[in-house]
Amino acid sequence: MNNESREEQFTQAFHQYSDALFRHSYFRVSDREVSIDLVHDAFSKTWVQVTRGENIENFQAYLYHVLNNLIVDYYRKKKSLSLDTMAEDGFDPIGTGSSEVFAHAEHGELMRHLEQLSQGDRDVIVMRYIDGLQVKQIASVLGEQENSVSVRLHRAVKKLKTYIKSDAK
Amino acid sequence: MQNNFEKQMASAKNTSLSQNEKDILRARIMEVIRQNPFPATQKKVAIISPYSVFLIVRNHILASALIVLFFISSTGTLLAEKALPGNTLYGIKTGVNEKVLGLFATSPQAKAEWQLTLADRRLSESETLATQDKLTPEESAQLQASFDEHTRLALNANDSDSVEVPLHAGVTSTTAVQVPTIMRPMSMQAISAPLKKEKGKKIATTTPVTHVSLDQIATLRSQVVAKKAEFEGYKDQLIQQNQFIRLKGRSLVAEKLLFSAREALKQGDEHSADSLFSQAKVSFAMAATSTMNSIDAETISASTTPRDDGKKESASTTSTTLPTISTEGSILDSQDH
Repeated sequence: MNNESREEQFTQAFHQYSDALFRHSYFRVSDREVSIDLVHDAFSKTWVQVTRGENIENFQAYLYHVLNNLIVDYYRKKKSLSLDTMAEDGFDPIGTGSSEVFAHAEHGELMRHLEQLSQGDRDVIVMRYIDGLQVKQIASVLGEQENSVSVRLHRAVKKLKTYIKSDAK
Repeated sequence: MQNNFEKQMASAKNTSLSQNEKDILRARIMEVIRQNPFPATQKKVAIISPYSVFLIVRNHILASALIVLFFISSTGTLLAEKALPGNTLYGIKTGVNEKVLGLFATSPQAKAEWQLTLADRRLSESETLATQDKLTPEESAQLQASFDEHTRLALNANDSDSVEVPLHAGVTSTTAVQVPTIMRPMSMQAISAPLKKEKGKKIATTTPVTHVSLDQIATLRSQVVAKKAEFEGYKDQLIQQNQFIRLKGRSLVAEKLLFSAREALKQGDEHSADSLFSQAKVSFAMAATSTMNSIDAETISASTTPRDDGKKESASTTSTTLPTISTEGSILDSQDH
């Protein structure tokens, strides 16, 4: 495959998967701007690998894999921020609850419920029901066994439904 | 509750980038593509290090050893071809080169010719050493013995049944293995005896030869050499008559005797020189006689034989020159004092 064909394949992947990748990122990090940046970074890293001659047979799986790693890195950086430092800067986590924030956001209700889930449960819910990935694909992206992904997905759905049910009351 | 879950998920699936966001994202990614183009394709040219020969030698140790051995041996054998007695490589020349080359001679005729070639080589070596004034008595005796051995083997390789006359004057076919050395001059009676047996013809060699000169030796030598060349010209016919080896062998013996006579004369041993010269004349006369007997018929019919012009001319020349080296030894007699 020549270079022109590779570039054409890459731009086609952008048109085909950019929205899905954004959606995936958005429901995992709960920030539209950050999601766009993460999607940009995922495509940039993939392009660099293409120029280095890496043969990418499945762009969808590859892009999801790169984006997932970027989101994991984002989570780590976010945790590393000291709450004390943030408090000194005027951040008050008690006074401004996440529920209030999500109430004004797009899909605020769903965001609020997802926020109640653990990070791992949230990831599998997003991948399965928002991204529409199969369990096998989710296991491939997360680097886990299909069985453990299924079990986690089942428990996560159960928890989410519980939150929705309690909120409805 | 189930409906809420599904509704929220269905609503979430509709989430997408706005057109503005998508345009901005596309522009940013196109910038990345522009800044990170494909590397220029360069045809890889293998640069061979001069030290790679060591790697090749290490990886192909057996092949390398064989190549080195081949070069050493081939160089050694080529150098040995020019070696003379006393040189380090002379043993390779006689012990390896000549034995290996001798393996290519398969037929009795080829074997006999090869032995005569070897005898010729020994004679040439003797002459080269003598010219350089390096011929010691030991080397001379050694070369003489080798010369005799090769002439004997040449006769043995040839069909010995057809040899009716002695190779050397005074030596019958049954005793041809004992070719006399230069240190054993023969009497003229001994020389004349077997000559009388050859088809009843007499060769006037009973006149004592005394005080031969270097010029006489040189003259006869040139005649012998010319006769040898003549044998080569009639090689095919002589081989058919099984005479080639015997005649060429006689010429070689005559040449060797003349060489020995010259060396004896140089050393002041006139008696030995005279005797050797006489033997050479007899041997040469027998060769010349046999040549005429063998070739006469061919010369007569030469015009009817499909041969090239050069050969025809040679044949006619032979018919005119041969009588001068007559069976009566007229030329030979003229050499005597």
